[in-house]
Amino acid sequence: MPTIFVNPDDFAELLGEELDQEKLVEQLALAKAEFKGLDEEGRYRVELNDTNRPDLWTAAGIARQLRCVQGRRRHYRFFEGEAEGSIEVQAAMRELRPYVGAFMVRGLNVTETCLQQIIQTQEKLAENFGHHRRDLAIGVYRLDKISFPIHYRAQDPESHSYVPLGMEEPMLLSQILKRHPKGVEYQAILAGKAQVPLLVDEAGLTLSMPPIINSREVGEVQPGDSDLFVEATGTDIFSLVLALNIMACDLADRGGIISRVLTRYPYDTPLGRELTTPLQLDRTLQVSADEFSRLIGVECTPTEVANGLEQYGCDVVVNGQVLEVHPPPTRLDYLHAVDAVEDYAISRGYGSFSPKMPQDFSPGSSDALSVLEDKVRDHMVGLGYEEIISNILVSRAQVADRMNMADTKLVEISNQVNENHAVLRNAVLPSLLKVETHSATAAYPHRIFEVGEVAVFDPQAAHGSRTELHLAVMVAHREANLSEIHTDIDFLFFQLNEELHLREDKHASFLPGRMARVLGSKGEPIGVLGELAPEVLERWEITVPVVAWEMNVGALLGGEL
Amino acid sequence: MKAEEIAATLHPLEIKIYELLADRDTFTDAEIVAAEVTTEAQVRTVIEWQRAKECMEVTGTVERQWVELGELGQKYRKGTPEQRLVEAVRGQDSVGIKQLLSMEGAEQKEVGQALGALKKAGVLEDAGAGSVRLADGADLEPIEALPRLIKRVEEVGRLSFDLLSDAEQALVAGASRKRGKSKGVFRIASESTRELGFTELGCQVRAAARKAGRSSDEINRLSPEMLADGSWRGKTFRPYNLSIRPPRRVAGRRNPYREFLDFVRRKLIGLGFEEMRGGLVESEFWLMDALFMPQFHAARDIHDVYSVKEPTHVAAIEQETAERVAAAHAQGGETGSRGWGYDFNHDSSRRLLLRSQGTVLSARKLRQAKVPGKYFGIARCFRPDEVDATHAADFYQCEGIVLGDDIDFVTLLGLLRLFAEQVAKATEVVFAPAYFPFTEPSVEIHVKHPDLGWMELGGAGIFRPELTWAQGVEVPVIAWGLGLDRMAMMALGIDDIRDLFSSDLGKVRATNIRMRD
Repeated sequence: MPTIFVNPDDFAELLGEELDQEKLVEQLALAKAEFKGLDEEGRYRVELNDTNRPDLWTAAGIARQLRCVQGRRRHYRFFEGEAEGSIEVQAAMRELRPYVGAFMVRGLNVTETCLQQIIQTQEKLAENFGHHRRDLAIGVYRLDKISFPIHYRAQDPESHSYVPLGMEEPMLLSQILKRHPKGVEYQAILAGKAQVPLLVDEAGLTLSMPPIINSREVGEVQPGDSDLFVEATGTDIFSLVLALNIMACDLADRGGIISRVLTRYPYDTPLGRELTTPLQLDRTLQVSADEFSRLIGVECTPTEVANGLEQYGCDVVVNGQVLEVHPPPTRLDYLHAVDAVEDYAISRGYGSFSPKMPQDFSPGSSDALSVLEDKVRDHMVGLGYEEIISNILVSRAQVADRMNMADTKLVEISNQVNENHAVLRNAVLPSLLKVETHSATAAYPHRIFEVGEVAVFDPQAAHGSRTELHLAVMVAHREANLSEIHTDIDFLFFQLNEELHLREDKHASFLPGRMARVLGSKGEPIGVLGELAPEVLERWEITVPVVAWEMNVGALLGGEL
Repeated sequence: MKAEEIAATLHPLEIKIYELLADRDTFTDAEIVAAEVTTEAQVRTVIEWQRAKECMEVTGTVERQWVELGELGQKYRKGTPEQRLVEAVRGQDSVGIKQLLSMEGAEQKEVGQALGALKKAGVLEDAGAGSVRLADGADLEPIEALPRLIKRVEEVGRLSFDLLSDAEQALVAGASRKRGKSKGVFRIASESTRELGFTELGCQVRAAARKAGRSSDEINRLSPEMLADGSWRGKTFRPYNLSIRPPRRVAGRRNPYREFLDFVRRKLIGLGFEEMRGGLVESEFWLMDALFMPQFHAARDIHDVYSVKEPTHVAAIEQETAERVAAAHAQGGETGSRGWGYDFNHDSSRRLLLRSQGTVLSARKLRQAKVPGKYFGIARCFRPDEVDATHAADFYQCEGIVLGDDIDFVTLLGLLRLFAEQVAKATEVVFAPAYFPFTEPSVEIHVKHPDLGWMELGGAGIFRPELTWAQGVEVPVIAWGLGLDRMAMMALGIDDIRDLFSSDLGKVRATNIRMRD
């Protein structure tokens, strides 16, 4: 969820009124936005919760939404009319980075704040909506430097150079990818490509290497500028058009005059071979007012619905019961009537509805495994054990190395954040030993247990592992010995009406001669019982003898989870 | 505490001392010690108890005189010369004076003086030929009194002068030199000591104890023997003292966090929900695609979900379901939706991930779900956040679905209010717009819990039609989730989320649930 910074004066100017904090918080809720306080420069921190409405990730966008709610909706004229300049796309771009589009803005008063906001919008859209520029990147340039048409073409990175933003000297494209901070940050998007995207103008001046970095000469916008050129490149043409529409509306709201730009493709796109942007995409919905009534559960008249949707920027044509809804050009999130229904419900206010209790009867029940789990837990508590609940995502050392089982196959994570959270535990006992390590100062004896989930590596299983529910029991004190837990497991099995069968065996975690397998009804091993080997205790830095047992509780049900 | 309450919990030793001081206003430690009801150490302990209870107080100091043995007294420990003379002649017809004067362990001069004194007192009389004998009917008491007193003083080291009888006091006075001089039999030392008295409360307690019939021979513990021989009859039993805090017990016990989760589970089952369980490892198909999250969605980013190293993919997704989900994504299936408008990638669907949210249980349940039906699951989930006080490596999500022909937005609000009342005992609720990728409309609920205050209880929405259509469900479905972790932390009084899964037994033992069920 993106968080943006909003300059209060700038926001008041965009909104056309000043809001006190209380009113601001209340109004932001209508845009599913949360006020998160002020930053050190006195700007609002605003968190946007709706990831499908990038039009709200800008100060101008939030102001636009709030103006709509107040009935001050603006219609933008620049979605029609002739294009002024053009971009020519090279055929090779189809495989490299297929889409590009642009517009011009003139007469803008580019202040420090305005520039900050343009950069913020550009970044939020490219980072959050464009997956860190992979699917969408935006560039802003000084219009007066550019001679049209612009060419969008593939370039050998070793044979072209320009001065990128933030540098003094021309650099080869390949050097920019290796050395420029933005090159280092985003080069992965172009990794493995023989050629890279380039925007150059008719005079041969480099605009940028999308999606990496602008040229310094054309792409360094400064306060005091007034005429800009804005382009977007990417992999999804609809996201690209939406981003340009949002940028254009924002700059228009800031007083700029927008002109469209034509892009000519030598290949087919979902929007044809000629794309003029900004572009109003057709997202018209035909919805009956009855559908609103049915989905919300209260009577909604067509006029009420039309009024409500206009507050969310839509143009609505009412034909009897049927409404023709035209969402604004800055929104592509109207996929289905339900999307309009929510906006309408918000416009009425969630607090205005009388909640209705669900009427249908349904019998409540526990899962069979949970029933067994609860029984086991009850008996363990009755036997005097204290219950533990632990993390399932643990370090490899915890479940393997320290248990003297270094070679155990585990469910491992490929993108671990740190090694303490690298594998799913395949047993619960290590979690209890961890407790013992951390609890030497707690009064003895320690008798603890946990019933919890584990993932057992299993190439035969559909997901490469089985999720099992295990009981682990641990006794630690000066006199701890096997007969203690032998007595308790015997008690538990009797209470569960199961026969206890143990078979002497060997196990790297336990002392030889003091370890047994717990067997299931068909003689299959379902658990272990034994006295922990001293080398295991040493690795855990445990200084008292420990006896323990662990078993797959689900095995008693005769099936998997 | 009232006097009656204190009286009811007096210790037997306190009772004994109360009995001893039944009609006294002031007293000293020494007096009580002298009464020999218990040891001196215990007397001091009881006095401290009494002072702590504000029943006794120090009222001042008293000058006390102590009788100790003087140099002569030390010498006379084995008997005074007079006594030894009497012993020597007792039962004899006569004993020669010469023989008496050379008595072992005594100076002749002393013996001579004693002999003279005894004759003068008429205890001894001449028996002729330089010998003496015991006079008939001689009063031996004055001779025996002194050695008896010497013995008593010797035994305890010193005696309080005030506590001696008049005769004894006279004896001491007669046998002492002036204070400080050591030559006499006795020496009188004086010392100032605290004087104690009953407070007003103490007097009331003493009266109350008497009135309640408390006595020092009451029974502490009833024994089988007493029951057998009936010796308990007529006895009173010492009341139990509730004011002493017992040590905290270590006992078999449910983990407080699990107890909280049990409470939520119990509530949901009581509200007619059927439990769902599932696996820790899931395919991207069920975790995300089936929930109509577009494959280009930001939440699918490598930074937001853990992927499994081996195997990386599940062999296959059931084809018919996969096709329907793909159609819903591409163009909305048969729902009238536009869909997301992209080519669905079946390969990424097969990626294996750790369960990142609990809604996956609902997604899997939809195809076999009953209509009407209510389901819930409390599922352990994993997200690659940097672990800190508010982010755990793994955490629980409590989610579920409600299916029914009459499901609509106001019913959804009703369900949330039911949760608010049943799970959070909420007195006030506020509904706010929310966003979840798989529901529309969506709402979150904030509640005021009577014990825990305002909190976000959870969120809900109606599953998007593209999602339910792909699973062959033809009725509206509410999807809901309760935010348990924050409520659990508040209920357990902890402020670090990592302590929910604490590996510190001391901490677990010290944690309890601060919330009414």
